[in-house]
Amino acid sequence: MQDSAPSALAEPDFQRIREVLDRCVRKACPPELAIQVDDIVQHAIARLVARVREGDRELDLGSAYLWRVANHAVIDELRRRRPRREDLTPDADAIVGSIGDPERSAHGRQITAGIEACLAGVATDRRAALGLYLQGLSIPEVATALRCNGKRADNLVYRGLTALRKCLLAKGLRP
Amino acid sequence: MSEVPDDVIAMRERLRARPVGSSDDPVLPERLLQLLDGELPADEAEALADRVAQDPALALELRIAAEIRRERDAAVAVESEPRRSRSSYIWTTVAALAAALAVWWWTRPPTLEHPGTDEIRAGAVDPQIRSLIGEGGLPRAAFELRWEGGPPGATFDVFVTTPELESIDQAHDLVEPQFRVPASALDGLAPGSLVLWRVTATTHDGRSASSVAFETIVQ
Repeated sequence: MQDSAPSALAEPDFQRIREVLDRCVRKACPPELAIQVDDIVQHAIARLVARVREGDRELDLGSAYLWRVANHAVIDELRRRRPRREDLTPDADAIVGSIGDPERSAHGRQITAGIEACLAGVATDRRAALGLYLQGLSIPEVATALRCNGKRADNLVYRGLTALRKCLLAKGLRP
Repeated sequence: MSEVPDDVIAMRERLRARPVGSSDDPVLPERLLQLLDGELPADEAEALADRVAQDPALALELRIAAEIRRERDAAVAVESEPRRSRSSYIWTTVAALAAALAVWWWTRPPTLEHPGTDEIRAGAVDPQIRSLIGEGGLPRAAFELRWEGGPPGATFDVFVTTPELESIDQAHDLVEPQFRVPASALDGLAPGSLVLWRVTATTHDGRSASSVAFETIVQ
């Protein structure tokens, strides 16, 4: 039911949204992007405000549309700021490990490369589940994403992890 | 796998610390939310999740989308809360208390129908009645509950409910220690749902003892 008289549209609480997005990006970003988090969120919020006002609609924090736009704005902003892959130097992650001793960070890079290589050898269905799990998703979240029941998600992750551990062990690596 | 093992925590940190460049084949940010919400067809979901496993840029975007989704779900829950009327809030609270009481009643150590002697008292909770169902649960088309133990010559009653204690099925005076729940009785339960069931053994002289409440997953 629509009112015929124009009414003041309630704008989302952008300050609160900013705080939430800031928390999300900080939690998810690698250390190398930590110094850019403020800028990423600031620009994403500016784009979010523009898009929400374009849409000229009443929104609250419970609106799925608002969060979809927020997600889009943050990821777009992140992509805009990311270096091209070819611009990444082989030692780019040495910055991350530079606080510790170089030997340790070199070993760390070796382990990370080992995890990636071993992951590539895992069966596709297990790798899909494991890929999500290793990004921090819980088993129920993996099950929802892959549209299977919790038991199957648990099995895929468990078997994927077993294969991954075995492969790492064969390479003499321990995460 | 309820707790995250230490080596998984270490692997998560290592993968997260990878340098992130641009993705060769970026996906629409909405698709990541759709993946997390279970809105993609299963084959597309698997293909996208597989890419996440191998592409650090996509993995970072998925982590952000996952955090935003969790915040969204929390916000949706909070925003909808004040819209409930006061009376519905009170009734919801009363219902929750009643459910808690019912759960306590269901899961409490069973009492004797004929208390009096130590022998009977010892039979009140029969730890010998054990479920033979594995942790993986049972397929709904062959949801056969099986158990072992109980006094020799006893007959069994079985009560099957949801975790909210809505009755699913029950059977009485079973001679064999097994009971098949018809698939039709499980129609309303999604895959992965939990079912509670409990066995009461009764001897020919009227003594009875119950098992603890067992939990079985509907596959």
